[in-house]
Amino acid sequence: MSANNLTAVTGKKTKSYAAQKRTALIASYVFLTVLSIIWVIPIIWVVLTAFRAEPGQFSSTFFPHPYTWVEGDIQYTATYTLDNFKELFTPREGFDFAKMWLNTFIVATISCIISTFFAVATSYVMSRLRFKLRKTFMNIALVMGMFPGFMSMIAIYFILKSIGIHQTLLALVLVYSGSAGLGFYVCKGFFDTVPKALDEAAMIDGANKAQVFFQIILPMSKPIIVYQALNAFMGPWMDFIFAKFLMGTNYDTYTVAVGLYAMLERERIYTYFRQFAAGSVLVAVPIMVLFMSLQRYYVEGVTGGAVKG
Amino acid sequence: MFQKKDESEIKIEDSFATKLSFVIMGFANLAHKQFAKGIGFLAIEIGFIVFMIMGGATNLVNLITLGTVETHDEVIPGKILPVRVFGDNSMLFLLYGVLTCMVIAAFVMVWRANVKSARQVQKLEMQGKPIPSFLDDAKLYLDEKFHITMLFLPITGILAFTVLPLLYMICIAFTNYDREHQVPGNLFHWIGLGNFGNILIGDERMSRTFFGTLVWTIIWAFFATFTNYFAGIIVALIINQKDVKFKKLWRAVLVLTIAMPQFISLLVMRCFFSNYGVVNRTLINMGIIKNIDGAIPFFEDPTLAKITVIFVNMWIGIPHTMLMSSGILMNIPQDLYEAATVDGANKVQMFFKITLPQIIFTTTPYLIQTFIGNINNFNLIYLLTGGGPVNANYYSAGDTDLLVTWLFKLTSDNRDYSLASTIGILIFIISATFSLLTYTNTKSYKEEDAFQ
Amino acid sequence: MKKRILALSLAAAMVIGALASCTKQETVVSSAVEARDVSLTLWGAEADLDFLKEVSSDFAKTYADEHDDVKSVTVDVKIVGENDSSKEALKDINAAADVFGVPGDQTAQLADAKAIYAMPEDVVKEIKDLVGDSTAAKAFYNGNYYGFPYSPNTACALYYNKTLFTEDEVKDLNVMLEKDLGDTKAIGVDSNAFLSSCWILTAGGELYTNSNRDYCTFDSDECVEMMKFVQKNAGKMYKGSTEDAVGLLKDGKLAAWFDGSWNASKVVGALGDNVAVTVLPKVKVNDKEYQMTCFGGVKYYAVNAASKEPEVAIALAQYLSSADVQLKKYEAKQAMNPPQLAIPTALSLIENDTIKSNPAIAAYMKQGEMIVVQEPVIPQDWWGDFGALYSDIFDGKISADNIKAEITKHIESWKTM
Repeated sequence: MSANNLTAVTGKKTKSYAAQKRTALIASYVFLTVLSIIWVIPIIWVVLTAFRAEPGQFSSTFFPHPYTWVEGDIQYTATYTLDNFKELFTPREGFDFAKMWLNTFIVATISCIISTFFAVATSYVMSRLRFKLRKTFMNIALVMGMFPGFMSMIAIYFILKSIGIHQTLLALVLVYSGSAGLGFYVCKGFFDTVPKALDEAAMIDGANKAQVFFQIILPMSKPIIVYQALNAFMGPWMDFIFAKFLMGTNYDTYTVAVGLYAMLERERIYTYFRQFAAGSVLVAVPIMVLFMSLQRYYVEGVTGGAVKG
Repeated sequence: MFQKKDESEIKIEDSFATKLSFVIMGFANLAHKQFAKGIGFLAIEIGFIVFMIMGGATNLVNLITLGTVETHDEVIPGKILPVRVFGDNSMLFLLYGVLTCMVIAAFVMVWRANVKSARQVQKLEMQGKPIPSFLDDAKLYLDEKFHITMLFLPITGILAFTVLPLLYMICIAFTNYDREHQVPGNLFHWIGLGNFGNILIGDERMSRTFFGTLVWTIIWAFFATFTNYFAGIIVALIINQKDVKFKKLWRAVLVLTIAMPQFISLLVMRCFFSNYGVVNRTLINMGIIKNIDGAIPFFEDPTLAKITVIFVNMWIGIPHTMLMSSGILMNIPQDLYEAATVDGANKVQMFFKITLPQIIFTTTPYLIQTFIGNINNFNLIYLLTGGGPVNANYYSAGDTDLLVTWLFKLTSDNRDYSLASTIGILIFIISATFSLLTYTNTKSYKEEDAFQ
Repeated sequence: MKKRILALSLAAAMVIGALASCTKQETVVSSAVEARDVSLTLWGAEADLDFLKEVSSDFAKTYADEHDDVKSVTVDVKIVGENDSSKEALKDINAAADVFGVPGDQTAQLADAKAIYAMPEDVVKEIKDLVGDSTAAKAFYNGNYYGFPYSPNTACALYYNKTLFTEDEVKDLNVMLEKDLGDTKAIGVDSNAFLSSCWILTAGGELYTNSNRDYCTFDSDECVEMMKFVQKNAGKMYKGSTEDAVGLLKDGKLAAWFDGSWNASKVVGALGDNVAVTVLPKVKVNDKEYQMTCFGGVKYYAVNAASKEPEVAIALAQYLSSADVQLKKYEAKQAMNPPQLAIPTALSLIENDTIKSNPAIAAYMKQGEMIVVQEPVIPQDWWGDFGALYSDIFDGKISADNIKAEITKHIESWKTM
């Protein structure tokens, strides 16, 4: 084979390789676009509904139609409107969205702090300290989380009632964060990847275990703390079963999920569906913002400290 | 451990103070001027005795009988209504009884700690060593016993909000707390293992439902976990290709869905896939389906409904795994790949030899937790299909009902608490065995110290 | 050492325990010598809240004036809809309202748990005078009447598209089914057993009659023929959820839809100006003519058995269901934006001019007269089970020849539910 020939062959090969790569890249973009559309459609639909003028749960097309209605003697026509948000924030008995939002925010913040502490403390202990019954505890904790939670609702209701706090925000905080110590698995995974040499060095310098934890380990655990905190923070915004069960008729302590879910009752869904969507958007926005801004830590938290190259 | 025992318990005979500590807790500590500790023990003992007198003892008796006084009506002359006098509430008796048992167990442990502590000071005194002051003890809790300090609150929480309700629920399974024995007007009683027999062998329809639902629960948990897992990894791989631009944007689009509360997105999905929902309607408008008769029964055909829920679950779950595996992919050291390229490995080989093992190793705990979460994935099924389509051969269950949603129906619609608890226990046994076996066999459990 | 943690944490639990044992159940004590202050709680649906507050404060004033032993009455109205009230009351009877509205099908659960009072004889007589024997019977269970019916629970009616059917056509199902509507379905019935049972009830099927759990005639020849008729005509009919039907109605793909008043706003909203409401049609099967019918019940005010003031509570329940208040409620609801329909139960109101002038109410009340009273002993499981059976027949999964055998098989299992 002559030198010339060889170049020709390799040249061709490179070219076809490049073409292949290009095709792969285009395919990737097509795939990602399709995927994004699938993922974003339901969300856009909720947002459109939040601004929709036409009442009801359904609109026969994806984008809403203009809708005409009469209020007093004046006839209005609109496709989109801000009225849904306006009505959402008009308090009526049993439904005060601003208050619910605030309640949820308070509960979410406090239970997020408590449960993050519980989870981080437990996982640190499980990862770093060695003591009798450690493995037993880990195994018990693993299976404990498998019990269907709602079965215990009635028991928790009466326990909280017996100490007189069953219809308070405190009860919700306790319920959401009480068992956080069980969810230490991902977090422990993180601590397992933090080199033990760090602790040992500090101990040689005379630090006790508490100091090691608070001064050395905790400051570098930002990712896992953020991961735990985000997950804990989201919980109260989404739970509609427990909150309703505990709060009963005490509207002052309702959370947004309770209020929103109540709008879906069969008698009310027609009237309230747009407000429901508006409320959903207002719930999703803060969580979304938090998630987007803390995404980096979230990812690092879950993947551990050591894999960082 | 045995040697330690020899030293502290067998060689030394208990002194008078120690012996008295058996009865009066904290006595030895007080005698040795460990006031804080001594008073603490004593206070707990007094508190316990007061508790037992005030109601603890009654609670125990009530736990055994579950109530004896029936609800009855008393006719009062001159009144149009007889007055209803409620009898004992078996449900509360059971709950408080369980609580009392926990308190007693706690007390026994404190008592043992007290005895141990008494022997300890006795030993120190005999050896002529200084008795630790309160401050010394406190310091210990920041160092050697730091795990106790750290675990105290979390474990208290777990005991109150998980263990106690759990014990209560387990007890219910051994009673006849069903719709014929509803509180507050009726008493229920202990009946032993009857409920288990009923579900597993007794009632044919019941056991058919149980096993049918069980099989589907396991299939579901398997597919729901692994479809998400691998699809998430694939999406992450595609996004993380070197040449793909707007990586952040693609990721952000998927992450949007995490922020949307599940009951909202699932409701939307239900609208999309219903018989005349957005999907079918679009197909009809496009002429692919002629009319409503040809609509794809996403939720009405048993098999299709099962597939639909798994797909919808992918919509919910892929963003999570995508995020996670993105993180891992970004963090795999590039030199590993370079070395592999030098050795002549191709992309596929690199994926299976480097990328995948790394992802799997890091995410095993997450994977197990997700699998268990899926066995109990109440929200998805309840909000999406409500368990439907209803299966005429099942007892109160539909084709997509997981054990956990079936259980919910039994309690909320039928108020068959004892039956539901029994099923709860069976679910628990299954998932606990499974996850313990798997977890203790994983690399990350066996080699948890490997990294350090 | 681990045990120490447990020990200490359990000590904390002990405090809870000590407190827990203090909460003893309170028994009802009533000794009315001096004039006392009475406070009651009332549960009602959110949509009725303002109205209930208004009328219950009227009640409070009147009652205190008329009774020497009562100094004042306060009624606290809380939002717990009729569909949730029985669940909420059974969760914790001591925290439940003194008076609450419940649907008739919850009677068995509440009465079995002894959570509500049975009405004394002279009160029962008054109830019967007000709403008539048959309506009163819808709150009847196990030998007792349990409350004051104030509204049909499940007023069902046939909604149809005026541009597709004329007023005469909707009187006869056979005509409706024969009309050529192209792709459009003639009539739709939800597969939900509450509505889909209408066929078999039309053919005279009886279930758990007189609270007899073994009694069911759903496999009679008439019923089986009726189900065969449904199966034969399934192509012209639609079986699905209200959500889907709303879409179909809107797009003109469904001409008539049978549904309950709770979905009225959705259905009316979908049909817009084309909407009309009427009773279920007549149907002819094998030369035998039937007037179609369906299950029905009432919502009634029940009195909590743990109430500390049961007599005042009964008076409140009675006041709330009186003819005057029912009429007031109807008017208040009509004045709302958008107007809502409150269907009364009081016999005296049927002849009332205001009520008469509303055609929709006439349809509901007429359909109300035709209904089959739903037995309170129907277990929750039954609904799902019948729905599944109905779907299988409708879809042809059970062949015409097997229908009878299948139904018989299911009846056997209903006996042990």
